[in-house]
Amino acid sequence: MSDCANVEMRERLPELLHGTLPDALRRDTEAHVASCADCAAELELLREVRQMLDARPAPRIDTAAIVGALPRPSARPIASAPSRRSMVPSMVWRMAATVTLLALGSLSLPGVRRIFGAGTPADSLVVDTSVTPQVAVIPETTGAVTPTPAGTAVRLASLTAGGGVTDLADEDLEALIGALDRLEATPGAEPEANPMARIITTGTGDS
Amino acid sequence: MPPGDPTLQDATDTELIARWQRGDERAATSLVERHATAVGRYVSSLGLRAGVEDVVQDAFVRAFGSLESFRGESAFRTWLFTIARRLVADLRRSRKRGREDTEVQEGDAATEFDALDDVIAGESQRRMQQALTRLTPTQREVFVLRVNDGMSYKEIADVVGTTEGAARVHYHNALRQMKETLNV
Ligand SMILES: [Zn+2]
Repeated sequence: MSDCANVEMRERLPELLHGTLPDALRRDTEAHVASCADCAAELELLREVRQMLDARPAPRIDTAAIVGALPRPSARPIASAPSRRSMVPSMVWRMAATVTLLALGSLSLPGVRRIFGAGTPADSLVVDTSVTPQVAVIPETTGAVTPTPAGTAVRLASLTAGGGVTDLADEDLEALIGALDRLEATPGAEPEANPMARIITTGTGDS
Repeated sequence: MPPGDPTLQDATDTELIARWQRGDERAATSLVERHATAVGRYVSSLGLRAGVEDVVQDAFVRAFGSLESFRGESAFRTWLFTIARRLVADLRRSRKRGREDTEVQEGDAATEFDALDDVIAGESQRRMQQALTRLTPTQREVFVLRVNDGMSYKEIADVVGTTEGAARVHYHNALRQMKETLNV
């Protein structure tokens, strides 16, 4: 089988197979397939592949158990919920970069506090990054803000190029301060020379 | 959901989500029954043998736990697949702690298709299955999502974490490889 030169038609074949083409496109594509041996053969191949995959035994799924495990419907308003999605990845990145700076001793936590203000309730960042799902940024099951030696130089360079922590929004900064406050002390690379490293290189409770 | 409830059965996913958010828990049953098997098949196709049902349940729980952020720009099923795929990767990381395993591994992805030998009767379908095993894991995943699940390149890109352009290339490379292997 050779490939039909009409790429547009070929691209429609999976949708034709699934019956998801709009009527006009479906009629157009069916007419082409009826007069094009290559497309007809390709459509048949796709159909056979699908039949083969359908022959797989379906895994046993207890839908009642799933329904029973679901959360109850939320009472929160739906349409007016403000979207924070675009902010979250940036905020997480900035946090990682700031933590890296702290780890390297380039920025002290008191310094951050002086510049950006005092600490705030500690949980907002964790809640946002763990339960905000979407196709592009789906729920994360683990937090990873602990810097690694291999990654610090790259992230530091990125931070410098990107303007550093001084452009953190208030909300971001509050979350950062809160998250830093929650971290426990563990031995850092230079615990005596840079006491702040003990604070920010701590595990977050994730195994 | 009462069997035969046309209001729920005919509703779109978006309508069911809205109903659930207004407190209609039967809408959740409809959504689960509509998509659970497909999510399970997809998780299986990633090579996961044990824990498929747990992953499917977890994917639904996470999806419903944050439905207020679902904008409906992609299909609900695509969103479920995306979450499930990430859960499989997380599960593999936890199972293979200490080893490098951050993505779907080649051997794992081939496993489920290798196992088809037992259940596929016809020679034609057996050849088809063998041809699939010759694809790279990414080609196979993209190809199956396109052909079996009917996903657009955009949806596939969202699920596997790539671009539409890359998904298109993977699909056509897979199709070319299939034709060569099957000599059609
Ligand atoms: Zn053609």
